[in-house]
Amino acid sequence: MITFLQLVINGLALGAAYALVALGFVFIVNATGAVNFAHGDLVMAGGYAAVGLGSLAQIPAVYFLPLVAVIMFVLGVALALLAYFPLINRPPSTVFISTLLCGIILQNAFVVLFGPQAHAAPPLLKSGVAHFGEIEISVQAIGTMVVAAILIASQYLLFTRTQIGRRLRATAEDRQMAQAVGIPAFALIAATFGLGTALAGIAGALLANQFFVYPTGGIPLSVYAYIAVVIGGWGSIAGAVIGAMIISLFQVVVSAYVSYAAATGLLYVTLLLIFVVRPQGIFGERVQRRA
Amino acid sequence: MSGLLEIDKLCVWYGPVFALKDATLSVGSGEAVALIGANGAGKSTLFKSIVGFLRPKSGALRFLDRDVTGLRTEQRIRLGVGYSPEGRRVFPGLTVRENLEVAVFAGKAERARRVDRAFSLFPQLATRQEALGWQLSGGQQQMLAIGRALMGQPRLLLLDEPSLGLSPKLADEVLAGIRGIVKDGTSVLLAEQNVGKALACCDRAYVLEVGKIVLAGTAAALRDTEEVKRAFLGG
Repeated sequence: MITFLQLVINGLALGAAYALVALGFVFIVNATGAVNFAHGDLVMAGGYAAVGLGSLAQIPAVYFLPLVAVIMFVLGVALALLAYFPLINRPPSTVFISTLLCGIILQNAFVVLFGPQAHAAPPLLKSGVAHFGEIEISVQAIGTMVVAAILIASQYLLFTRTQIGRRLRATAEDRQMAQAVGIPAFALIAATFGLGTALAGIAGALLANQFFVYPTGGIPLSVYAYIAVVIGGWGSIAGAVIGAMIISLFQVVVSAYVSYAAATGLLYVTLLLIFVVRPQGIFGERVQRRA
Repeated sequence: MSGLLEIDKLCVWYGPVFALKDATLSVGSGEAVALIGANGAGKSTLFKSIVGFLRPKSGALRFLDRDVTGLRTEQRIRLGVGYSPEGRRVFPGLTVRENLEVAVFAGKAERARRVDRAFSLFPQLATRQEALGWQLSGGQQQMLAIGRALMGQPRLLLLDEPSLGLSPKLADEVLAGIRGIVKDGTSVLLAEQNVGKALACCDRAYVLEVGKIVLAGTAAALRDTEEVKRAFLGG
């Protein structure tokens, strides 16, 4: 029983990091409708930023996490200018491809700047584990869960309770009409890419302590983010979090009882089942259009 | 006349086909002006050019004595234009209240005040505040689109076919609201296929036919014009 509980907690800790990854992805989906397939590589970029800053100053990551967010915000705006705005009137699949290409450019930039080998970033506060009875949790995992919880709650409140959040949603639903009620849609979209990328960067900085960063490390993360959002319900924040948790539970808990390969296979079988049984995802998309 | 909106020789092309040719019209302060014409005559094209969805090939577009052709859509709106588009285009995933709130650029108290005023103008919306845009009936969506267009307290309200898809009774209710809007200080430019109803609630009118303005005058004069009677009123 203790083993099972320990596994579940490890799964939740990894899930919290995946949730942060999915959160930035869903942020951009919610505000622009664009699927950003450079997202996993941006997570890696955040990890590399943490590695770089950590090697310059030997301090815990919590002190330079805001700086990582700022750097990544700028990178996100650059991504919007390069891969989104020029294609804004094209079909969504075009943006899918252009962000995929930006991701590949990032992967190669990582090789040039940091080499092909793996790096680790400093921990958020300190390394080591905390004990709760017979269960132990790494301090980094606790920190990741706390940061994830704060950012998930903030994003939820931003989208539902603030004027800027409502305007972001309006812009995502009908950009032209948003402008026609006075909303500066292009500025909001650029800011959205910045914020979504900052979230990706924070996720990367947190993951880069336990799980290393390497040039192609972002590819599975893009896929996980996409899967989490599909499982949970397109555009749903709660859905993305649940989706991320499901992925990590398969990778940590299920893989402890069968093999990792079998667990991964089962995850994709589950995904297919969700596609068939509940194509709108667990939390469904609540918007329909009237004919 | 103090011209709020002055359009001079506006030409709009869709590729090789013109949608508007040398359209010249004006709307003054305190006026309700109708734009009448059949489907495809260019009414929506004119509105889309005014708000900046479409880029005219030539001609002048002045609002409040200012050339607005170089301004982005949101800048034109913030100058004092309200736009209720054809097909309503309410934000489907936002609640009724949120649909109104996003269009207010003022502090929180003022936002609440304006939303309340929209609810008093359209009491039907007040009972459905938390419903999502897509869940409303067509008539309610139309009221929401008009209410949303009024949120910025515009000097000019553009109403594109507000009666489309509504029952005759509901259409009458919506059109009857126009006089009240004008009285509150907002000029109205109304595109409408139902000519009788449009002339009944507006001061002046322009008649569009295949992209050209073919007739203009006061509503009373146009009602008695043979061409209008023959073409639109079935007389």
